[in-house]
Amino acid sequence: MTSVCDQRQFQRLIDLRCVQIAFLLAIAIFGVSCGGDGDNPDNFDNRAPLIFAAASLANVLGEAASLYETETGNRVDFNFGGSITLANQIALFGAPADGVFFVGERPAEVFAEAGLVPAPGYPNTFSNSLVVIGPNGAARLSSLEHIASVKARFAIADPLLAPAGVYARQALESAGIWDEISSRAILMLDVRAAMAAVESGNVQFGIVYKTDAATSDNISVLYEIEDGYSPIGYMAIPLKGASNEDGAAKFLQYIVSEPATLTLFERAGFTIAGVPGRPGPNR
Amino acid sequence: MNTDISIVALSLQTAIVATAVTLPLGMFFAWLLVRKEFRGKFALDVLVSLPLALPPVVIGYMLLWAVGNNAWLGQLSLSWFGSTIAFTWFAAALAAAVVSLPLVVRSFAAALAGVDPKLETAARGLGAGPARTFLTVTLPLAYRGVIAGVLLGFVRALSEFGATIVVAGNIPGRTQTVPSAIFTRISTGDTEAAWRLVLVSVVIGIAALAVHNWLLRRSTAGQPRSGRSVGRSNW
Repeated sequence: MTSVCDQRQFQRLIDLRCVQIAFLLAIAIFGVSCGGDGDNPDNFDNRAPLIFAAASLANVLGEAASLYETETGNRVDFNFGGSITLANQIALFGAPADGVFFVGERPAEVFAEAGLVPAPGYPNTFSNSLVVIGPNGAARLSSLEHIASVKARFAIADPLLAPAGVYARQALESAGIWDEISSRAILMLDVRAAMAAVESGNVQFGIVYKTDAATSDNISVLYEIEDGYSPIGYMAIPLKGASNEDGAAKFLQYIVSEPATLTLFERAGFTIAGVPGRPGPNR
Repeated sequence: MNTDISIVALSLQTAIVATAVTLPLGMFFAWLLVRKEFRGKFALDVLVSLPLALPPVVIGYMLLWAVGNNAWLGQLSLSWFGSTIAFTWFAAALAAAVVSLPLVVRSFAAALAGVDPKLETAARGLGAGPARTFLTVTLPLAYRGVIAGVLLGFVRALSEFGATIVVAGNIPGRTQTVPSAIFTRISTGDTEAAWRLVLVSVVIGIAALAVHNWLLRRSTAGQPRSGRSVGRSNW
C-alpha cells in the first residue's frame, strides 16, 4: 500500500497540497500584517487620552466628550466601571489610563497603598446622592427601613468593587437593617449593573445614585436616601507619567471649568461641589 | 452599528494574531508529541493541555502577573513601547493564544498521527532533509486536519472571555472584544445591543464548526481522487 506506484501522480498531489498550504499561509500572514501592524501606532502614543471613569459618569462624560470634541477637535476614550476595580487595574497592573475620574475615597487609598502619588487633580468637584429604585409602577417607600419588611432581593454595587456599594451599605447600616437583609443583597460589578438588575425585572429593589436613576425610563425612584452615608465625592486626576497625560489633563481641566459641561453635570443631577476651574491640592 | 463593526474587527484582529502564534507553536508541539520520544514528553503533554483544565480566569491572572508592570516582561515593554502589555489588545491576543493552544495542538497531533511514518521514512531515504520531508510530505498529507485545527483554535480565540477580561480588561475601542462587549451590554441592561452581538457570535460559531466538520469528514474519508491510498489515516 505504501509503495508508490505512480510517481507522477504522487508528485502532482504533493505539489497541489503545497500550493494550497502556501496560499493559506499567505492569507494568514496578510491578515496578521493588516490587523496587527496597521493598528499598532494606535496602541501607544498619538492616541486620544484614555480616561478610566466611574460607571455613574457614563452618560454625562460621553456628552461632555462630544462637546469637547466639537470645540477642540480632540477625541477622548473612556473605560467605565467600578472605581475600585479600575483603580486596582491601574495601581497593581499598570493599566494604561491617562487620567481617572473616580468616585469615593477608596480609589485614592488604592493608589496610596501601591505607592502611587497622583498628580494634583480636581478632588470633590462633583457630588451625588443615593436613591432606592424599583420597577416602574412599584409603590413608593415611606422609609429606608421599609426595604427590610418587604423581604425581597435587592441589588447594589459590590462594596469591594465600586464605591456605590460602599455608600449603599453605609446607608443600610445607618438604618440598622444591613445585618438583617444583607443575605438578600445581589452584589453587582458596578452601580449601572445594579440598576440593570432592577431594569431586567429580576430584582425588586436597587440602591443607586440619583443620577443613574435619572438616565433610565425603565425604573422609578421609590425613595431618596438623604443621609446615613459619607458625602459622595468625585475626583478627576490626570495620571503622572502616562503616555497621554497632557491630553487627559486638558480634558479634565475642561470638564471642571467649562460652564457648558458644568451645566451638563447639573442637568444630569450632580451637585457641583468644588470651585470650578481652580485646581486644588489633592486631598 | 459602527461600534458593533469595530468590536467585531478588534475581535478578529486578536483572534488572527492568536492564531498566528498558535499555528507554528502548535505544529511544533504536536510534532514533538506525535513523532518524538524524549524525557519529559508526558510533562510537556500535560503542560500544553493545562489551559483546557484550568478556569480561564486563572490563565488570565497568571498572564497578568507575567506581563503586568511589576513583571520583567511588562517592564521591558514599558521601556520599549512606553506601555505595558497588560490591558492592551495584544494582551487579549496572548490570552486567546494560550487558551486555544491545547485545542490546536490536539487537532494537529491527530492530523499528524494520521500520516503514515513510512512515507516520511521513504522521503528521507530518497534524500529529503527533515524540514523538506515535513513540508512536502507530512504537512500536505495532514493538510485538512491542520486547517481544521487552525479553524478550531481561531474560533476558540474569538470566544475567549475569562482570561481576556482579566489580563486585557474591557476597554471600549481598545481591548473590548465581542464576548466582553456582550458582557458589558448585559451588565448595563442594553438588551438589544447584546442580542446583536450574540447573533454575530452564533453565526460565526455555526459557520466555523460546519467548515471544521466538513474538513475532518473529508480527511477521514480523504483518499486521492484516483482511489489509490497514499496516506491512510491510522485513526
